[in-house]
Amino acid sequence: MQERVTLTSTQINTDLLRNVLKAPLWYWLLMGFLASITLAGSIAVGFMVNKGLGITGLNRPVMWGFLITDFVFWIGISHAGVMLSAILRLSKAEWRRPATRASEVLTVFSLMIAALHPVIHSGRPWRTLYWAFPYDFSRGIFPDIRSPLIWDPAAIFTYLTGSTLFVIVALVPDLGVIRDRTTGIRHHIYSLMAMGWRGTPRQWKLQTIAGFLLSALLLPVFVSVHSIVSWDFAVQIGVEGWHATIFAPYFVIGAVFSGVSAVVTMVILMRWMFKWEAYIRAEHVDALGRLLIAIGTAWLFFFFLEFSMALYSLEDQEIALREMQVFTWPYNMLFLVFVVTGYLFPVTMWLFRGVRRNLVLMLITSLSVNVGMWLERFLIIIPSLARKSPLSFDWRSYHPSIVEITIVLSAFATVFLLLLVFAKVFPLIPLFDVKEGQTLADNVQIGRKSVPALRVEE
Amino acid sequence: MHSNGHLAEVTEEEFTQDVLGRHATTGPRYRRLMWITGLLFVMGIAGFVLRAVTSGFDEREPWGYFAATVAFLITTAGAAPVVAVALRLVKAHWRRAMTRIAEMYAAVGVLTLLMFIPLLFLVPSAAGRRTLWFQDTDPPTLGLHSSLIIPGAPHVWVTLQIALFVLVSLALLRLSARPDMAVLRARASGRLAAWGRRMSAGWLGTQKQWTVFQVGVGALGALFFIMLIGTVTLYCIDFGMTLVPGWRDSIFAAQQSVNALQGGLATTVLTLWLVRRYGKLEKYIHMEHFWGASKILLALTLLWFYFWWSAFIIFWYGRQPAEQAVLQLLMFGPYRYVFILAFVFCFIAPFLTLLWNGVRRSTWGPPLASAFILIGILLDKTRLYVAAYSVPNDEITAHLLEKVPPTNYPDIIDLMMVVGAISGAVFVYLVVARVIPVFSMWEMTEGIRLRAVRPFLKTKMVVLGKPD
Repeated sequence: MQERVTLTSTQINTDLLRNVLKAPLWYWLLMGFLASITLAGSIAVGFMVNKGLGITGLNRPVMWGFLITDFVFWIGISHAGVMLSAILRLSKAEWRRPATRASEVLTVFSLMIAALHPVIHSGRPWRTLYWAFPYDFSRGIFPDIRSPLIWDPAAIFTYLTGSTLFVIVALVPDLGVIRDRTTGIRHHIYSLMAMGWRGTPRQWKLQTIAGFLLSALLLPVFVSVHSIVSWDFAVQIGVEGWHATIFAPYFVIGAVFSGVSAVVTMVILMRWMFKWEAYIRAEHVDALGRLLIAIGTAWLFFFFLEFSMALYSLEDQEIALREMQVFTWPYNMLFLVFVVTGYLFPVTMWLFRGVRRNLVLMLITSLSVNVGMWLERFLIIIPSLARKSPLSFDWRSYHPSIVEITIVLSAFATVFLLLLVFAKVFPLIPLFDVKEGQTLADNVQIGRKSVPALRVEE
Repeated sequence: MHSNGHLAEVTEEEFTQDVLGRHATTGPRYRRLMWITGLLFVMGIAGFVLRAVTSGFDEREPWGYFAATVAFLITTAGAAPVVAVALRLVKAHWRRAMTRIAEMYAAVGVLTLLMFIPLLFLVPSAAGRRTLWFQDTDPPTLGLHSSLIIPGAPHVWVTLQIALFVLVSLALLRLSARPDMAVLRARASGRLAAWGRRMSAGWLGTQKQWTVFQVGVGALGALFFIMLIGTVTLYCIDFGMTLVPGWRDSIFAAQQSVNALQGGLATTVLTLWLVRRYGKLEKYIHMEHFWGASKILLALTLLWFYFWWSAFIIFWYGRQPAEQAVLQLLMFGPYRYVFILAFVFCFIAPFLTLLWNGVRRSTWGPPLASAFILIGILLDKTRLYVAAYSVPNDEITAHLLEKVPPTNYPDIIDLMMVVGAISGAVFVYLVVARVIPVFSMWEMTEGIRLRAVRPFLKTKMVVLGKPD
């Protein structure tokens, strides 16, 4: 059921700019709390760089641990932005409006955090420069451009640049509104950022074209990013369970699943924190829930194919790995939690309309997906490395150290902190998009019934 | 007249009368086409009998083109109803003129099911070879029996899957046509009215009937989608990939599923164009239908490339003997020209066609791209299944394809079977189009009710109702 709310432009400006113009006290307290966790994470990184990777749980042959798991996870979260914003914008889905900016910004911040992980994981961050960029010609040090590990930074930074531009283009009309409602130094800064926006027909036309172009251009980039991350694993033949053709789309669909779930979490929190009940309504969360059923089930299909094709191989090593993932402690417990929280619990719940329209249950289920998806990445990486294989001379398990746990937790806090900072400077719901939605809303009378309708261009 | 070239207003009454009038008569050109496709179909049956008599069912190689044709029919005609299902699910307004055109392909499923039966005699049991129907290693690593195979696999289960798929698609067609059959009952005369009476099954259009109907169409649609993916997955793995030792490609089923969505949409778009052009239905089938479909077709074409590339790069980087042999068999060896042509028609040609907004927003561009795609799918199935069926029986249990078999060129019997089967599919469709209206009348009528043209500022805009 659609719950249309009629809002005036003034009311939209007041509601959506409330936090930008004057933030409440709880906001600053929350910022301080998150900043302290971020600081703890930074200290942990500094300590690790100072002491070396020996203080982590990494060992031979488990050279990739919590940080790489977290890297893949945050790359996944970053897929929310383009999935929701670009695709829904191109398909002109009406319910996209309150969620687009949040998802775009989530993309940018999660990508920034994701990109930091491999750098920190290297133990000697400065060295990553000449591993990734061809600068040290005189000493004959070149990155191996055939390696997906080198494609990674190129893809991530292209995606980051594109996503940032995407955010900026969609922000410009709103910056014009803030400029006109601020004074002093803030007015000057917003004037600069608004780049002379006056809302002329030509400016609107250019803004719309830029938005569509960036949407279309970002789609292949978004697919390529997680595909390349998957190829970090899949092009190897030395690690059991990784050399699978399905890895690229399997990673992408998993990323979209976790990213859209993160957007659901985020919009529900936004509604509660900023009292945006008139803007983020049950119908929006319901639509996201229905979308998630489709994405989650597609993900399940890929998961089924990946797993069943491992058994199909009839190779001892491959089957023994699956046995380890499913039957051996502690991976069996993690596997069970992953399957239940990643798919069975949330998707079963979403089948019920009442659940999709209940914000508390949607918050729980969307968080549940991301617990599952984080574990999925962990179960792809760790058991494969921990198992003895023909090419490894050692066989050990992996236990994350407190340093790694701190860094991973602080990554979550940092993304949340960055989003809050953003919410203080810019509106998290696009004003112009909401106003456009109000303008295009109409009704069609069929008999005695008035049906919600939309004005469309043809 | 709107910018997209269609007339805005057609009343419900005008529409119903027009469609019923057209449905009651069969033109000479239509009859001629039925005769031609019917005769070609008979020729295909003759080809099948000749193949069975001359080659028997002991060797797979002579049946490669037949298996490829079955795959082609599943991927195109079998998948076409998914267009109606998906567009109903997302409530796309522009779907209305094309849903029935897509759904009527369900009837072709009967032909596909009949053609599938001979293939059962050609595929060996799962024992002793890699199959999807799990088999543990020896010695067992999971503590399970060393030769655990689900009984009847793969034959019984794949047959069951395909039979259910056909049944569900027919049920979907039957159910979604029910309100239209009531219109035939009430407004047609003679045999058509009697047919409508029988098929409408007491439809009166009460509130309760509509509610049950909407739920039923939605549930059957979701079931159809699952069945389609299941059928494509089982067929391509059990009747394709498992026949080539060393071919272990986890993306293959997903790739074939995407190909089925692409094929289903291409089949629908091409049929839509033919119906519009030769049925003189420009009044109801507009540029917006082709435009809407073309965007999805472009996305699916890009996905085809993405899935192909994802598999290729892993095989290319892996360079293991089994992977090299598979690449040699399917892409660089005996079927390289077929592969190149399939690549051009499945990806390059439709991509370059649909890339341009002007072409997408035309009534000729999307059908042209669809024709490319259908040719490409036929070629792609040929290189996959003919190659797979040319691997000798005694090599099927190996873990590696030691010797790449030579090219299996089609003979006259193969051509008779391929042309006959495709003509048979067209023939079945033409027959069905005579007994069920080619437009989903209840959806078209709903569309007319939900659409209005109203002034907005200094212009006029179309207002589309979006009920829950």
